[in-house]
Amino acid sequence: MKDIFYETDNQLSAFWDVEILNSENTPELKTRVISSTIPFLKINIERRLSGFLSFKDVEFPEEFSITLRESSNFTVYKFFKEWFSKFYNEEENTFKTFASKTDYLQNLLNLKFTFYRGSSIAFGIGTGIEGIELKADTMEESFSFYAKNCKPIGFNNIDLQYDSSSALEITINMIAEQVTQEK
Amino acid sequence: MDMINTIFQAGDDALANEFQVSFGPIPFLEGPKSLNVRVTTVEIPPKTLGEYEYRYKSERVVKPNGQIETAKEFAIEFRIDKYYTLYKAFSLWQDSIVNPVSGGIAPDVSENGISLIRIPITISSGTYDIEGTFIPTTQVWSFTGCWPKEVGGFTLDNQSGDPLLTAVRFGYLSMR
Repeated sequence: MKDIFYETDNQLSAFWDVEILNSENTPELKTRVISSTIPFLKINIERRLSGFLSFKDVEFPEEFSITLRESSNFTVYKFFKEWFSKFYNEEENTFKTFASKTDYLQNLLNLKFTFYRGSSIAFGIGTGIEGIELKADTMEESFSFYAKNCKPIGFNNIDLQYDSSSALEITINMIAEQVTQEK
Repeated sequence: MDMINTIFQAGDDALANEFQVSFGPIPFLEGPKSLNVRVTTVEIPPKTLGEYEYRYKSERVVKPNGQIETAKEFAIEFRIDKYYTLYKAFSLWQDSIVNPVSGGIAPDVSENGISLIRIPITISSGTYDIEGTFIPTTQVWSFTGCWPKEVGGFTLDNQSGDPLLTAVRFGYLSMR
């Protein structure tokens, strides 16, 4: 039997990252991300009475969320709240306008979801035990998805509880105009 | 005889009692205190990798899942000194992380690369020469970012004359 188990390894689901491409704060947020979802475009199909299947319409990428551990400076909330405030004025209860379309597009977030795979083993074979040092980085990008022109929807409510023993989590919901992929 | 020579070519066997523990500065412990001679046992956690499995027809395939499952804790057992100095130091160190009276917690952060609540602990295996000098070998376990997650626990006993032993269980960031 063909050696299907080792020819190409399976993509492990834990090896991913999400970064915000048009933000300087990405490195600070990257390590705080707990979970996210990549939404996809779907085609709706209907079955006619004759049994014939026909294309009906398109379901665009649904809203998705990113859940992050909050820092004790509330940097996560502040970052997304600032982004949210670019579009909506909560004091005046009004949507904000932008000077130009370019200005508007620049304020929408572009996200990159990257999956990683191993590129080599942690150290060379046959070099003996003495003096071997583990390589710092043995992973390479395997595939990336891009969520383009994301608009903010808002935060999930925060549940306050005294019996929690984990870090505070913030969930921000948003929706992407388009999701693309790139090797 | 050749077989005997082959066995010892890589050196003599490692002995369980030939090791040393060195601590980064233990908070609340002034001056050098000889913790080393008081340590009786050190527990090195086994290095464990996670795995996942799936079925393909009759095959059961098990593969590494990339998760490091090594326990993030290790323990050191030591004889308590007459004045409970070491026990007090570990206990105060732990109290400085979470204050048992007020419930206040110290932030787990570092200043200039030095953690305020964590210290490094190094365990070296080695051998003692005829003078009793410790000669470390290449096997060293370096634990970074150690903090005392469990201190003490012992029984005082009127009918025992044995030295009082207790253990400190440390959490840590990385083991190399």
